[in-house]
Amino acid sequence: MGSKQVIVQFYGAFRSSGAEMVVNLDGQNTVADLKSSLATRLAGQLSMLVGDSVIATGTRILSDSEEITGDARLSILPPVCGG
Amino acid sequence: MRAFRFCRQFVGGNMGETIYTRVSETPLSLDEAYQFVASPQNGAVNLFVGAVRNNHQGKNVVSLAYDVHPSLAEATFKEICQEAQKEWPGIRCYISHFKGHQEIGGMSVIVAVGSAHRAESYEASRYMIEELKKRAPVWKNEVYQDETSSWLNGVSLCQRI
Repeated sequence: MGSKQVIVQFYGAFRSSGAEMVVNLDGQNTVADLKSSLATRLAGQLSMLVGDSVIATGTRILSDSEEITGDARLSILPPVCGG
Repeated sequence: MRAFRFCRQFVGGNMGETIYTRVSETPLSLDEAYQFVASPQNGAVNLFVGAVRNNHQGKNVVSLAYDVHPSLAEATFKEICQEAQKEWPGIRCYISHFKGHQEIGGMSVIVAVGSAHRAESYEASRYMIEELKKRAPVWKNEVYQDETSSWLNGVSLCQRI
């Protein structure tokens, strides 16, 4: 497994850290690893918010155990409050 | 007849469609929602409108910004409409959610249901808006009179995976 570049698009409260973040992962990685990396790099309350958030593609939410097999463009979705 | 001409244009020429969903960056249209869910078989049309209010938890709100993940939101809206149609067969469903900056009183969401009788239109409409609030990837950023702003707390999607 080589290195992968994952671009994570931000929504909601995460937007206070910009539009997106580039995360480089090495080896075999899951969505949980990506969340862990995001939590490390984000500051304060946003770091804590990662645990209540999900990672998604353009069409579906990914489970924490899903593997990230290559470069990807994903989103992190904090708790929702539409309507 | 006017209604049906509009509807044909609106759904891309397919009158067989009974679900319409979208995320809109332009003002929402009650007329559009009504025209989509109305049909000769339906004796009831229920229109629910979410609007921006000027206060929240004791704070004066001056405007609200809606952030939306468009493709996932539309997929979620469709899923909710399909669930409603399974529970209340024969209904026509419409969901449109606003994305962007909205002033006080502006429409944030329209949920419309057309059905044979009023009971199912009320019930389906209630189901659809409640599910939307829990499941759709939409976020609100309130702007206050003192020019501060705050992202509102919400419901985690973690339990949905």
